[in-house]
Amino acid sequence: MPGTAFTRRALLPAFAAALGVFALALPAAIPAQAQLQLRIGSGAFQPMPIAIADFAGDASLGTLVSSVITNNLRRSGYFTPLEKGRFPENPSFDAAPNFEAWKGAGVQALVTGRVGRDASGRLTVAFRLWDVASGQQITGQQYGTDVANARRTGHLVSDAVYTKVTGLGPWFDSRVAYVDESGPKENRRKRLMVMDQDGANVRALTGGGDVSVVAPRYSPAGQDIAFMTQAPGQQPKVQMIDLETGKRQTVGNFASMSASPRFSPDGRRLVMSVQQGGNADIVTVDLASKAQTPVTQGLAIDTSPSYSPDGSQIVFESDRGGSQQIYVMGADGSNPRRLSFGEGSASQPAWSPRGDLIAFTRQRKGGFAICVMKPDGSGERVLTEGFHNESPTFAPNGQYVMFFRDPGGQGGGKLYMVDITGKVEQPVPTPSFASDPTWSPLLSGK
Amino acid sequence: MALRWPESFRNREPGVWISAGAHAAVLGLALFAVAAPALPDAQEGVPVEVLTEQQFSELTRGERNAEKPQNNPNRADRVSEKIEQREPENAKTDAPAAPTRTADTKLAAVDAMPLRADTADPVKEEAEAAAAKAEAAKAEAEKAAAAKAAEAKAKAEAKAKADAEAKARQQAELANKFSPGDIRQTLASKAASQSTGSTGREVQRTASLGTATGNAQRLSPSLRDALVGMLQQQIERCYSAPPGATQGVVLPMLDIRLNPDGSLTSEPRVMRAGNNSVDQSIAQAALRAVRRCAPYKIPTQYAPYYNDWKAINAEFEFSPV
Repeated sequence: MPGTAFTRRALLPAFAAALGVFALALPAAIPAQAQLQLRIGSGAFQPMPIAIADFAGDASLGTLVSSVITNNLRRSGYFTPLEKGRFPENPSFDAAPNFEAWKGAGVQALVTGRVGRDASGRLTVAFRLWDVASGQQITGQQYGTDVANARRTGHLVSDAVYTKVTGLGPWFDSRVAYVDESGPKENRRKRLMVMDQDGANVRALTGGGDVSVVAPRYSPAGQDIAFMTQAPGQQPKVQMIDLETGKRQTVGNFASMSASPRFSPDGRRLVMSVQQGGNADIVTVDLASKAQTPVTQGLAIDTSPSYSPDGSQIVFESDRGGSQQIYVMGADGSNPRRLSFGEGSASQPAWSPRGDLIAFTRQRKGGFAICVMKPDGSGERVLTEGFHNESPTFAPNGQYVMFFRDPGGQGGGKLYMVDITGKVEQPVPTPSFASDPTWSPLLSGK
Repeated sequence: MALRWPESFRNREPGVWISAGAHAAVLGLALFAVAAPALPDAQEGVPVEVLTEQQFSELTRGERNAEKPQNNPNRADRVSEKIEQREPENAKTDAPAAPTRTADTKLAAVDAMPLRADTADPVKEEAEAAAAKAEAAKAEAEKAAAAKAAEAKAKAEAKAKADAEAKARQQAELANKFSPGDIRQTLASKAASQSTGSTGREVQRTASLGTATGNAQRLSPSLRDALVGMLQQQIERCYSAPPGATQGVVLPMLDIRLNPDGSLTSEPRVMRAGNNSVDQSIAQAALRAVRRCAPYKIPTQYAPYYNDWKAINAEFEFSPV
C-alpha cells in the first residue's frame, strides 16, 4: 500500500535505534551483589546455660517444682542449669526479669513460675520461659492438677522448655518399669518395680518371693505391663499385669517356655518367643480372642521380637545364620532379612518410637556395647561400651536409650541412660540393684 | 521448439547471463584469492581474565586526556618479587632488548610466533625475526620455567581485579600508541600482582587515567572473602546446632543488618526455616547465636565498603551426628 512506508528499509532506523538502546542498557541489567553471603558451620554441641528460678507462691511446693525441672534438664545433658547461689536476682513471676543481670551471669534462658491453689484446692502451676539475649518471652503455660501430682507438673514444665529449645519430642513425663534385684547373689529376689523416669515414686508391682520376674514391657497405652515369670519347678511364662487394678493374667497357653513379650503398637497383640523342642519361634497372641499365630518357623532360636512403630515390621534376634544376629521381617513373617553384620553377635533389638533407629546389644571380645543402627542395617554406631551392658529401651521421644550395666562380682546391675549421640550418659537412681528396664509411653498420651 | 529456446532466451533475457557470470567470477575469486593463513602453533595457554561488562566499564572509567595516572602514596602496594621493566618504546622497536626481560614473562614465547597480520610495524617484525633465532635457545629455557611459574601463579592468585588494573593502566598508557603487539604482550605476560586491588585508605576523588572516579568503592573478591571468613568465625563461636538437629531438614537463613561499628542495626530476621519443630529450634538457635556474638569486629579497612556488608544473608548448617 503506498503511503504507509511500512517496508524493511523504512524500518531500518527504528531497528538500529532499538538495538542501540538495548546495547546501552545491557550493563545496567547485570545485577550488583548487594548482600554478603555467609555460611555458618555448626560447632561442637554445647549444652545451653539456663536458670530455673524457684517458683513463687507456696514455698515448699515452689521449691519442689523448680528442683524437679532443674534435675530433669540437667540429666537430659542438653542444658546446664545455673546454681542457685549465682542467681543475680530473685525474679518475680509477673514482672520482666533484669535481663542484663542474667546475661552477666551467663545464662541464655530463664524459667520463672508460680504455684498456687485454686478455690477447690487443686494445684495450679504457671511458668514463663524467657530468652535472655532478646528479652522476650519464648513460651508460657499453666497447669491444674491434684496436689499429689506436683512432681508431674514439674515434668510437664520441663517438657515444654525442652521441646521449645531442642525441637525434640517430650520425654520427662514418663515412667520406667524394671526388675528390682535384692538379696544375695545366689538367691536373688526379682520383683517388678515402677518409678518415674527420674527415679522418684518407686512402687513394687509384684511381691517377689520365689517367683522371678524378667523382661517387663509396657503396653503402648501405658496401662499394662507384660513380663516373663518363673516359679520354681515351672516353665517360664508370659504374664500381664493391669496397672490400675493390679490384676495378673497368663497370656497364651504354652506347654513350653514362652519369653520376651512385647506389645504391638495398637496394643491388641502380644508378640513373644515360644520354645519348640530345641528351637524357639516367634508367635503372636491376640489379647482379645487369645488366638495364637506363628510368625517364624524353622530350626533356629528366634527371640526378642520388637514391632516397628507403624506395626508393619518386626525386628528380632535369631541364630539361623550360625550366631545370634538381628533380622527384620514383615509383621506376618514374610521376607526375613539380616540386618547386623560384623564382629561378634548382636541381640535384644528395640525399635525406636521415632522409627528412625534400632537399638541392640552387640557382644564382642571386648565386652558388651549398646549400639544403634538404621532400620536398613546401615549406620551402626556404638553408644556405650563396657563389660556388661544389656537390654536397651527407648525413651518416648526416641532420643535416649536406657539399659542396665552389670559390673559383675557380688554386686548387681544398675540402670543407665544414654542419648543417641552417645555423648550424654547418666545413671538412673534405683533403691537397689536393677535390670531389664522398660520405658513407658508419655503419661499424658500422644 | 526444444532447440530454439536457448537462442531466444539468451536474446530476450541478457541480464540473467550477466548476473550468472558475475556470480561465478566473484565466487571464483573468493575461493582462490583469499587463502586462510596457517594458524600459529599455540606454544602455551595464554591466561585470560574474564571480566563482566560492569567490571570492565569500572576499570576503564577515567579520562583519556588526563595528564598522567594518579599516584596514590597511601596505597598498600605489595612490591613484586621481580621488578619488571615494561617500557612501551623498547617493546616496539628494540628487539635486542628482549634479553633484559625476566623469566617471569612469556614475551619471548610471544615474539617467537610468526605474525602475519601485524602491519603496524614491519620494522619491528623484521628485527624480531632476525633476533628470533638468536633467542630461540633462550626462549625454550625461559618458556619451560615461565610455564611452570606462570601456571603456579595463575592457580594461586584470584586477584582478577588487580591484574586487570595493571593491564588497564598499561592500556591507558599506550592509548595513544595502540598496536596489537602491545596488547598481546600485556595479556601474555603474567607478572606477580602488584597490589591487592584499587583500594587505598582514601577514596579517589579526582579522575585519572585508568582508576575509578570518586564513587564508593566495591569490595574486591579477595577482600570480600576475607570479610566473609571473619564474620563466619565470629558467629560460629556462639552457634552450635541443637541436639535434635539430626532430624533437621531445612538450613535456616537469617537476614542480619549491621551498623558501621559492627553492632546489630535491628533484630536479625529468619528468612527461611523449615516448618517442623526441629527446624524451628535450629532457626531459634541461629538467632540466639547472632544476638549473642554481636557486636562484630570489622577491621577499619572495610569502613569504605560499608554498603557492601551492611546487609548479610547467613545460612546455618547443622551437621548430623
